Amino acid sequence: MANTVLKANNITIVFGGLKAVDNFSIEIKEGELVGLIGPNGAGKTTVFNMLTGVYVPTSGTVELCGKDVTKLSPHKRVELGIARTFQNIRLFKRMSVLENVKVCSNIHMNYSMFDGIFKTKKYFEQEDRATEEAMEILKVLGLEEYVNEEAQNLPYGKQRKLEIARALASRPAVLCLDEPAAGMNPIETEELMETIKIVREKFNTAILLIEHDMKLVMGICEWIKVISFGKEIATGTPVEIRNNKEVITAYLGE
Amino acid sequence: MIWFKRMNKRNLISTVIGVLVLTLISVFSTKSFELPKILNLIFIYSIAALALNIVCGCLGEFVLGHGGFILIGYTTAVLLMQQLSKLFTKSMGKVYFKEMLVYVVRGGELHPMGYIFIILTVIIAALITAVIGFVVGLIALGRLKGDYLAIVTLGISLIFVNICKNFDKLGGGTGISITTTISSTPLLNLGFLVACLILILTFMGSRFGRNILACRDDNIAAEACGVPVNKTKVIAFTFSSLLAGIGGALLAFVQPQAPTAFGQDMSILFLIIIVLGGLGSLTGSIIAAILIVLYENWFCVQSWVPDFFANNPKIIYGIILVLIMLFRSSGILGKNEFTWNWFYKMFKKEKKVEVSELNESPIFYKFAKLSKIFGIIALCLCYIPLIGESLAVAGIVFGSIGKKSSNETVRRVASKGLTLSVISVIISHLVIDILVIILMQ
Repeated sequence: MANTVLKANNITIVFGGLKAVDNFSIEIKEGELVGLIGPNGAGKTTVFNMLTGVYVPTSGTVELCGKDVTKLSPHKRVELGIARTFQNIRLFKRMSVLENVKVCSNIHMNYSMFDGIFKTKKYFEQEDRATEEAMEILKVLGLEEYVNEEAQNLPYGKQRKLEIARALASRPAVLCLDEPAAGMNPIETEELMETIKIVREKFNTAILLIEHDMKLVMGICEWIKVISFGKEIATGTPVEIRNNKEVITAYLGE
Repeated sequence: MIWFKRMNKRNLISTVIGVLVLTLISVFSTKSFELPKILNLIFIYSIAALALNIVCGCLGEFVLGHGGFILIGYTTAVLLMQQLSKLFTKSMGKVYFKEMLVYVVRGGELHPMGYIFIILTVIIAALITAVIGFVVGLIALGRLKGDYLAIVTLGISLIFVNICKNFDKLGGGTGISITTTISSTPLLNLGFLVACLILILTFMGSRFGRNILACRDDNIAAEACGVPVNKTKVIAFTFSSLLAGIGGALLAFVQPQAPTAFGQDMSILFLIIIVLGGLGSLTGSIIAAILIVLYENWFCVQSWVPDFFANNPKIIYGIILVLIMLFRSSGILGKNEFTWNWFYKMFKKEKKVEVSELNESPIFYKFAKLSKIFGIIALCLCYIPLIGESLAVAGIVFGSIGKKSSNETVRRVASKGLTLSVISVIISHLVIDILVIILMQ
């Protein structure tokens, strides 16, 4: 039986008088690939922000690998095993590709400032390990030729991949992808599908995916949750979702 | 000693030679009257500019209160030296220590052992500044961003200035100072500059430095990557005030100043220096500091320069800033660094360009090659007056002609020649002048 890595119990968030997300619950098990879909403004990204710690839910709890993380800040949650990408790409633009990835492996280093300044053995051991790991991730994602390139100089599709690579460097138990296919053409989307599959196999991480591209979601997700106006309206396998009346109504209207 | 094994031997040797040359210049400069002070100020301004560059360039936060932290370093150092001298002249029976410190504080020949006290004083002053910087950072950096942070830091630094101005023991209207002969030898300041530079480079190369750079580029993404953003900002600010404290403490031994001199004028002067050198470029800050110090303390006091400049030296900074914004918005070095790898790349052979590849007349290629050759020869001969300079000027002329080419390789060769020529012009003008002054006296 696989363990639960990420669990949200009845999370609700209220902005002023607006209930952006109402009683949302989700449970993701080790290695699962879950989709989260809904029409524009349904509250998908808000759910994401609550899971990763940008917003604190008004009520309800979030559990990560068995620990209650509802009130923890984002960077503490990363240490516990959640990593995310952004809808609009947020890379460290002026740092090199390798450094971008290594920023995320910082959480696995514990050398002190003294080690860093005097370059002790510990410094080199940990830095070398991080570099090796980063190179491995970049190789899997096909970015090894850009290692020393500045991140802002990469083409759009590669920047998306680099964001995934960066998130993977923190060795997450669950990886949250916020519209990874936004702004991609069909060929790039296909490539992305392959990438996500490879990532899941190689790094053994659960993936939570927000996406508008139905071909991508239906093609790779094991099960899907649909929300509309902050409320969950359906859960099920891609086939079930495709034939669900409420979902069709939410997307297309009566 | 792993770092020694990992070090590129060529770069290490080049650095050692560079430091040795600077040491020699510092040692011999004491024979001249004006030069030690200029060198001292160059080294100190470089340290303070580097300190500001860590917050403004590397962390990307706009801070206007740098002068206040330099003032803290300055005042602490003076007070420490005064207390030390009192302590030793009162209670220490040993004549040895007493005499040593009397020399340090009252002027006269500096006992070699006096250096230890000076170094200790500087370090303690820097640590105290760092503690105050830590508190200020804790209050201001976590909550404020952008212009608001700039205004708050400016206000805090003015508070420091006013406190010192209104207590006679901390400075008063005229300021407190230490009289030593240490200002005659720039060696100590050179040592501190090299130490600070090494400290910054190793610090920025560690995970802490990486966190700082990540915060500069994107706060939200950094937070989502496990970087504790607020903590990182406070660390960077503390580190910056530590270095500012070193700069201020060293300044106390060189140039007595009233507290009011550390107000917004000094804060903005350092901002100008790092913008001129390039935000985030460490070597750029040093180059800009050299230019500004030379302008204020060498150019403005020359007899052939109009009195207008001598009376209002700061009037040109606005013009400089406007020109930079117009022609090179990223500063002299931009975000690049002067590295040995870059320097030695100048001498590397480019791939040969076939005549058939050139769309225009091959004359550009010839000029570009000539420019590079002239540049190299000029660099080798730059210590010979006239010959080195004229070769370099020829190199610059040929290089600018070669740059007109449409072929990229040719342009690259030409710009290498240009850079080499410009470097040799600078060396032959400045370094040679300095050497001549030293040897003549």
